[in-house]
Order: sequence, then C-alpha cells, then structure tokens
Amino acid sequence: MSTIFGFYCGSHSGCCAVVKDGEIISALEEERMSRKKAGDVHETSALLCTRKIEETTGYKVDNSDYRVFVAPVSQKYVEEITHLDYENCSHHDAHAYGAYFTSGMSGKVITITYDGGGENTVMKIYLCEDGKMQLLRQYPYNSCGSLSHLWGFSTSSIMGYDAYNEGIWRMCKDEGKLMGMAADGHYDEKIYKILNSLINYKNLSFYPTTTAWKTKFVCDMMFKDGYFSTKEKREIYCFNLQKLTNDLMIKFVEDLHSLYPEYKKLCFAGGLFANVKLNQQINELGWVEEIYVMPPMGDEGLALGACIKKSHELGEWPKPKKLKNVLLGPSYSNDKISEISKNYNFSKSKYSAEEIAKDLNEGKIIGWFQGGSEHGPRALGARSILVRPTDVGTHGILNQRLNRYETMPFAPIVLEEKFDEIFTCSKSKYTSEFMTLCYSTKEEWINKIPAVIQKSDKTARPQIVVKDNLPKFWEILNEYYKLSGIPVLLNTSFNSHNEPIIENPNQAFRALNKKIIDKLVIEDYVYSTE
Amino acid sequence: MYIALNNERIIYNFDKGVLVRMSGPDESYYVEVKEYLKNDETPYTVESYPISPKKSFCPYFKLPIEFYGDWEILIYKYVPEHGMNRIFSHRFNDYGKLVRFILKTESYEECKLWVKRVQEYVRIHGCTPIVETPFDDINKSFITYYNIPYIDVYKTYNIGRFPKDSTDYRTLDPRKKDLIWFGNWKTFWSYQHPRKWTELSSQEIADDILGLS
Repeated sequence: MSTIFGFYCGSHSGCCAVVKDGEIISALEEERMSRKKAGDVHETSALLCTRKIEETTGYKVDNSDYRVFVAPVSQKYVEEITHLDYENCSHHDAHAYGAYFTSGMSGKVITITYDGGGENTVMKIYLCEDGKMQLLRQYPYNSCGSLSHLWGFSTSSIMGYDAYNEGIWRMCKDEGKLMGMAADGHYDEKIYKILNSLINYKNLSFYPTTTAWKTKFVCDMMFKDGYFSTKEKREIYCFNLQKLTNDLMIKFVEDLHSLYPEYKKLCFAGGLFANVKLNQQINELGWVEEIYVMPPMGDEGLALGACIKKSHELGEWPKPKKLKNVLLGPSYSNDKISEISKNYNFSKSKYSAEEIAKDLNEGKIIGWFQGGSEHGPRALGARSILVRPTDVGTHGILNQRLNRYETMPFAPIVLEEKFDEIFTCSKSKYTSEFMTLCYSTKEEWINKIPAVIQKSDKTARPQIVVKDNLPKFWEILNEYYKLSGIPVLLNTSFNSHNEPIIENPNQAFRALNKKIIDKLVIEDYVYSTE
Repeated sequence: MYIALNNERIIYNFDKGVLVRMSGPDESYYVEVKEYLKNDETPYTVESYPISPKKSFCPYFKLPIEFYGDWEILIYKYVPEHGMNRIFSHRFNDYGKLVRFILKTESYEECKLWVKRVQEYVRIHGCTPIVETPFDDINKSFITYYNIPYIDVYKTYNIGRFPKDSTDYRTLDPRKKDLIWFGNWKTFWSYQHPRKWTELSSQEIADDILGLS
C-alpha cells in the first residue's frame, strides 16, 4: 500500500500526479497554475502544480513512499520539489504505461508511443498482454525521422515570425489549428512531394533522420516561396501534411499488423496521437477491434504514467482498468466558491438542469464548472463552455467572444445512448469519452448540428457522455435533448485564445464578468450578470 | 579536400573536427553529419544545421569533435519542385591519405606506447602518418617527417589528456545538464575524448581517441 508522486519537468508540459494504493488521487498540469501554455515556455518546472495538489489532497511529497521523475530530469527542478530520494522513469515508458494501464483492454494489445523525441527516442512499440508489457522496438531520435517534428516546425513557420524570429504560432501548442485547417485544403502533388522528401516510411522505419531542423529549413524556404501567403495556401499545405501523416502511419500500423496479426487492439500515447484525424483513420481499419488514446496523450500525461508504472511494479495496479473520467485536478466547495463570488456583483440562483437546458435551447452561452479540472488538453465536462449545436452562426459568435481563430473546430458532446444514431463508426467508444477520435457524421444529422461538424469533411470529434461517469453533465445534456430532440451540445474548453483552460472559480467569474459567457453554472449554483 | 559539382564548390575535411565550406548559387544549404557505430549500419545523426555561405551568420559547418568517428557528411539543397535533394555525401575514409598524429605526453615510455597504437591505426586504415611528439628520435622513425608546413592533412588526432571543454554548453549552465537538445546526442566528456580520461589507462586513452577500443 503506497503513495506515489510522479513528476515531469522537461522542456514543456510540466505536471504532477499522485496515485495511492493503485487509485489515482490527483493529476494536474503546470500550465493550469502558471497560466502559460505549453509551447510558450520551453523549460518547465512542476512546482506550482505539485504544491496545489499537496494543498487540495492533503498528500505531501515528503511523506510519500515513492517519488518518480520522468526523464529528461533536470536536477534544478528536482531540488525545487524535494530533497528526498527519487526514482527515474523513462519518458516513453511513462507514456506507454499510462496508455495501456488506463485502457481497460484485455488480451493482446500493441501500445505505441510517438512524440518529438522525448529522452532521445521518437517512438517505442510494446507488445502487451494481461498486464505484461514487452518492449518490441524503439526508434532513437538520431536514427529515425519524426512526424511530430514535421507538425511542430510546420506550426511555428506557417504564420510567419515575430520580431524575435519566434513563430507566431507555437509548436507544442498550436498544432491542432493546422489539423483544423487541413479539412479545407486539397491534394497538391508538389507540396506532398516536398514533405515526403523530409520524411518517408519503409519496413517499420521512418527516414531520413533529423526531421526537426531540416523541416524548419524547408518551411522557411516554403515561406519565402509564398506557400503560406494566403489562408487558402495554408489550408492546402495542412491538407498535405495531414495526408502524409495518415499515409505513413497507416502503412506503419498495417506492417505491424502483418507481423503480429493476432494483435487487434491498439493503445496510443505521445503528442502525435493528439491528431484525432489520424486516430480516426487507424480506427477505421477493418482489422482494428479497438483503439485507445490516453486522454492526456502528450507530455502532460507523463507524471501520471510514471505513477502507474511504479504502482504496477509494486503490484498495486496489476492489470489495465478503465478510467471513470479524467476530472483529476483540484475541486472547490460551494462555500469557497460563494466566498470568491463576493468580489463580483452577480445574481445567484440554485442550479436547475431544466432551466439551464432552456437557456441553452434559447442560444445562451453557458460556462460549466464542476468538480476537479480535467487532466489533459480537452475540456470534458469540468471546465467547459456549452452552447446549442444547431446554428451555423455559433462558430462566429463563439470565436468572437473567445478571441479565437475560425480555423479551430468546435466539438460535440453526445448522449451515450444516442451515439450510434448520429455517427457512422461504432468502434472505440471508450476512448471517445475523452474526445480523442474523429467520426463521420450520418447524413441526416449534418444539417441538424452544423455548429459541431467540420464543414468540409463532415466529421466531428465527439465526447460520449456516460451517465454513470459524468452524471451532472449527462443530466444537462439529457434535459436539452428532451427540449430540442437533439442529444448533442457544443462543448468547447473554458478559456480564451492562447490561455490554458481555466482552473479556479475566480477565472470563471472573470469570464462571466467580461461577458464571454451569459451564465455560469458552478457546482450547485448559477451566476449571471443580469 | 575539394570537390566541384555542377554549380557548387565544396571544401571539406575532418582535420580538427568536421568542417564544410562551400559556395554556390543558393542562399542556404543544409549540412548533416552522421556516425556509423561499430557493427551497426544504421547511421546516427550527430549534428545538422543549415549554412548560408553568402552571409556572415553561419556561413560554414563545423562539428568540433576531434576523436575518431566513422563520420558521414551529407549536403542538401532545397529544390522548389522536389523538396530536399542530396547533392553531396562523403563517408570518412583516410585510406592512402595524410593523417597527422600529435602525441602530447612528456613521458617517453608513454609516447612509445602511443606510437604502437598509432601504428595499429595506420595498419587498419591504410593511411600515411605524420607523427609529432616531443621526442625527435620517434618523429624521425616515421617516413613522413612532421615539420612540413602548409600540408593538407585529411585528419588530425591529438592524443593526450585534455580537460573538459569550457565551451561545452553543459559546463555553462548546469540546469541544462540532462535536458534534451537537438543536435549532439552523445554525452561528450569533451570534444577531444569520447569518455572520461581520468578513468582510463594510458593505452585506453589513445585507443579511445583513435577508435581502437
């Protein structure tokens, strides 16, 4: 019976997690506390999130049984957090254990981790069965090309550079925008060829190497040649980037399958698998039974992965199990919230699902703050903004209020019971509870929920809401369904552009005060400016 | 070494690390150095970055690692229709070429021991040695005498005990000690030793530098 603290303080996405007796107690990213998004900082501690976890859970680092730091480990940051002994955990092991042991999968599973080069390695592949993981292959950073580099450096080049020669869009932060733009582009042989000259795939190898600076070199050249000069040109570039990613990864997964045909379930972690379009392509392969992407798939999930690995080694987390939800951050009591609200002049009323559903049906924008904050990049029912999905114009209104780019698509939440009526593929539903997959929308629903459907390819990135796992979130969605006949709501993260998702009630109240939202549902009360 | 391609002129050597200078019509070229490890035909990238021969910022490529490595130099240019095109590659091969060995020791016995290791290197590589030591009788025992000015050597090895490089970024900022940096992938003790010489015997020091270990 042990208390394990995990930490990651690498080049971005610092985080902390605590696991006790094989149960997750809490997990939090540094960006939620520092208010600086991963990608805006390239050296990060995990001090603030650690102290917050200590404060809210009562568990202390110095009283814990084990402390595990994920590589690469910087001694300076270790000393900020603890002076006690600690263990190291390999970067990709943390990714892989986090993914496999939260997948709930039984039988034969292949786990793949793929990122920009954590701890000198781009990718690792593990064969897993009944709680046992065996490393099959690893791809060192300096002998293998990385698709993540291609995305990262494309992101930092595509909008040009600021006065300090920093990309206007940042790697490790804005890649999702490129994925969103890709849907509106088209195939261009020339661009595809150029990107293909940077990275190719054959016989389970991605080559040539050093895709990082080489990509930057090529992107700089393309920038000079005017490939990114208009919105349309950028969309074409992104389409071909997405297409190349899909093409190479699908070939890779197919080759892996031909070597190990009995493995039909796949677990993924690492920044590359934040790409929901790629995940969709893999999920739609005929032989794939199920895929699972760790909800905090990037480096923000490493601390939790390290805790899980240690817990597994101690025999306290013997086999994969499913997560009920990922609301693992700090939560706030009604009393505490009430105290904070005194700084503002809001009207307050008791929460009623029927009333809020009515507001949603009338087109109001609702801030939703419940329980612990989500662990990972997606808002999944704890720090969300909810809107009805029925108006095309919602996109514009929301982008204006949140000061976002129109390239960023909005995602739906859908009642578990109604999922199959709306979306075409019914595989891998568990991973869709965490919004890590895209699905094609059935023809008859495309015009009913236009605000959450990607205009050009008619896909969506839904979150399946399961009653037992998120009862209050399910309830509001169900009430809206009763009123409108539509079991879907638009769910976007509760943050303005360029900010991390909000963490505490004060930040939510500020959004209400600025009229970014019309009403704020926070725990058992509703606040409004009216 | 010098080579003229269609439009590009390239000067390269491994003398004091890898050096690539070039001229050509393009504003920038991309240079990469890979290493082949013993019994492994996978090339591992050691360093790569773009150079701009016509500009004052980063006009040439330099990798200051001085000990032996089975290096390969690759040069690419960006072609608008095709992306990255490799225009030149050269893998380290000192067969029949002049290689300079500078033995920095004050011990005659150690110098003789290191000379034996130099001879072993010469036997394996088939190069022509120029040996410089503080001891004239040893210098003169080699066919090529050391004191020849302006000689174009393919590679120079300094064999001795050299302190950790003060320019190594890991000595400048201890916080960055274990963080990943794009580029150098080995944890170099210095650019002159692949391993910590304080933990090695006299012969091992020479063997390490000459790639005989």
